[in-house]
Amino acid sequence: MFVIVYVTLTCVGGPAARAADLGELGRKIFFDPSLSASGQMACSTCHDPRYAYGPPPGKGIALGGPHLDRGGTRAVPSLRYLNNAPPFSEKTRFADGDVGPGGGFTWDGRAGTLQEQARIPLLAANEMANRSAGDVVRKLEKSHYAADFQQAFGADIFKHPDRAFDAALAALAAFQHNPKEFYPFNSKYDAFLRGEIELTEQEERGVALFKDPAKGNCASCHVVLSKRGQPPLFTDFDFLNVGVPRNPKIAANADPKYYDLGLCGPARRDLAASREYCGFFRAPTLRNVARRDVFFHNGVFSSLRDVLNFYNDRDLHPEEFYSRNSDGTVRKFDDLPPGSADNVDRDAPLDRVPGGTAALTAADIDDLLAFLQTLNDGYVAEPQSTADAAQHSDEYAWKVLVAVNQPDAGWETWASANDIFRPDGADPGPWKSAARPVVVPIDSSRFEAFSARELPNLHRVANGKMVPVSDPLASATRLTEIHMNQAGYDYIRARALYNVQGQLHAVSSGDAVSFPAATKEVKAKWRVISEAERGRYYTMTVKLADGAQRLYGLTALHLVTKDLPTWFWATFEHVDNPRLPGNDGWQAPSRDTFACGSAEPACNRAPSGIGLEGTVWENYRLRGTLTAFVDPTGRPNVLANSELEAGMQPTSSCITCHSRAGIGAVAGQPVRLPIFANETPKSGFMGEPRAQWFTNIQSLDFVWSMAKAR
Amino acid sequence: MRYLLILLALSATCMAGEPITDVSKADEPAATDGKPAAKFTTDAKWETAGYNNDEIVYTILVTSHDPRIIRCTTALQGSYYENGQKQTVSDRQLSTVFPDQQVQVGNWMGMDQQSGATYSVHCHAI
Repeated sequence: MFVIVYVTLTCVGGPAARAADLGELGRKIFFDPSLSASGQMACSTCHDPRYAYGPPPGKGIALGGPHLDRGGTRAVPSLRYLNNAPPFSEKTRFADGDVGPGGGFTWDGRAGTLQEQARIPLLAANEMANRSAGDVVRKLEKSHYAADFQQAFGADIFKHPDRAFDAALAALAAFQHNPKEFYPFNSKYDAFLRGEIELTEQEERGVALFKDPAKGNCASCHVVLSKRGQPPLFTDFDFLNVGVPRNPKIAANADPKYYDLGLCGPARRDLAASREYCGFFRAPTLRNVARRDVFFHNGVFSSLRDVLNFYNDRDLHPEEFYSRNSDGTVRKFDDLPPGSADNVDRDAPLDRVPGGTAALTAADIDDLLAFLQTLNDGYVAEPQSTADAAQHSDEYAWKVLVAVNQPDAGWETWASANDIFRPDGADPGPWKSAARPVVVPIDSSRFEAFSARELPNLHRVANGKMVPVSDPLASATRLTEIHMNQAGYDYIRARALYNVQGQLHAVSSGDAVSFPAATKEVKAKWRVISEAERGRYYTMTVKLADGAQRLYGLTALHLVTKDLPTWFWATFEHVDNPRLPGNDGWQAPSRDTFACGSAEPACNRAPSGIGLEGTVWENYRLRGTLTAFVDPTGRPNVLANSELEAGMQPTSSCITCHSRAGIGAVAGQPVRLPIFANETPKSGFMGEPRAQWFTNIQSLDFVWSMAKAR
Repeated sequence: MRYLLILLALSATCMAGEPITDVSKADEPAATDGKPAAKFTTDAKWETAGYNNDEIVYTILVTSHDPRIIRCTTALQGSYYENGQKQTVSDRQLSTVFPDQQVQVGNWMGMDQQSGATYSVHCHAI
């Protein structure tokens, strides 16, 4: 890893520009849509920092041009981990001793440096569509950072368009040398390599399959070896042709004579005569690959599982991947010109013959996917500290929030309560790591849902009339979900607490139900938000049953950890909640001594210095934490979330309410305590638990989600 | 809040006001079509479903005590709030209840629990 700090760059002329300043200028250029012919497309439009500088969901093959109607021909690559890409050479020597084409930037390596790479989209007719370097410079001159540009490169820089254009490219390259942005090496796998954490058993199996030459054999190109002290890049910048199927969604592919053949053209022209290179594309880094929804150079696959299935079954079941000829036969390698399949890679697992055995089982693929998840940047180990939970509760709450909301490895990848407590009461099976889906199906397995069995004829008031509710989730303006991490999940399985029978057995066994200290549980609430609100919320795109998509923003989040015997309770809300229709407002002030200090704990702001700056989490507030039933004077502790405890804020105490989670048997029938007091309006429970509650009930260690067990 | 009515009649009427009270009345056991009156009981309840919107759901159940299949018409009247104003709302459900079975003839959400609800169930054998 290297970092450019205060290196002077003089190659573009004018006053010496410090790299740090140049990088900041590059950042402004990178995010500036006015530099495109459409005025709507910045570098960041396709290389979105929220997606590891890769494409946002559904934008993998972008539309560009002056009117944003010209289709791209390739999938947008991530710009991360390109800092150490070697220049292109046909004589690259790889770790296994092979010599061949390697290195360079873009899918075909035709750009030798980051500057050259940056030039391409600025001038491409189907991307930012500037007619010339001068065209770009004229836009730069009108930009809000024109003075910064002159400060860096000289007052007369805009009088020299070629120099100014090169300066802009240098600034973009300098920005891309920002380690925090472009090569953070902060994935879970990096933490594992540093010896800070252990991988799960499934992830370890995935690594082994990844390396095994007879199984995944992924590491033959996506190398896992550290080089010169730098963590692995998961690519050796090798070129190969794996026979990727043709993508009919690429407009250019409507022409049957059009083939994108990578090294031998048409985008790259210097190797057009080297037919042995046709179909060769550069192996990308697999860091952050699990955050993409578009794979291979032509973006033909939209899920990583599909990619692995392709590697595994390309030669066993080609009919699943390729188009057919007019006579119905499968046209294998249909994105290569007829007769040019000799270039196709046939190393394992791409070495099978029809009727043979696949290199990977379905379970192997699950394990590989679990491992690939560990390559996502932004991993933060889940904090676990009894002392911090008890003594620095508010600070601890924020640290847990950051940890459990890291991109793609946070609480949304934990098991949902509906996954754990299945309708048939069966064992939910071993823990499976899951990616955060780009688009979440509206599914009762994740969200709290009306059961068809329990509520068969559901109606609701709409425009003054009662109307049938055919799709309760789709009609809900808010969605609620509960998730538990692996420590809790494994405990539930170990003690068979996933059904009523198991819970009754556990509480009668004399071995009290007590979750391990690493257990964490989350309850979240989302509301439908507008596109204009997207920037203020942690968002989720939900796909409804009819295929339509709807944007939801996170409004509320309970975080619960077993750091303390009676658990650690924290709740967060979006700062806009009190203004929402149907919200009762915050009926008690927030208390956050970490963000606000002890003197003014209700200051209503997010803390600084823990990485929230510039993120949506700045719009969330810690409403408070709970570690005890009563305060030192014996008064009940109250903590409410206006979204999750609507209508009962004054009587809400997470810790007391959850103390009532339990089960018992009366006359042979399972019984539980009611969640709410039988009063109108709805009220909760506060203060110390009462002994009479537990006459017939045994504790289930504060975990109310266990009441979902059948 | 639960209501339980044992009816030997064609219809049942229940009303819940503020505070919710159990005011119920059974009609005379007479059938207009000459058939013996359907035998059934009703039960209604407000429940905090605790789903996505912490919905409060009003449920009406009919339990048949009749050896015949019965057809029930359930009418509901309740209240809800719109822009701070209390509004009334009504609904009607048809249900088929098999011998000695209990069915939820309807589940309604979005109504104001404090205002209560009124329902009537009319059943006849088919």
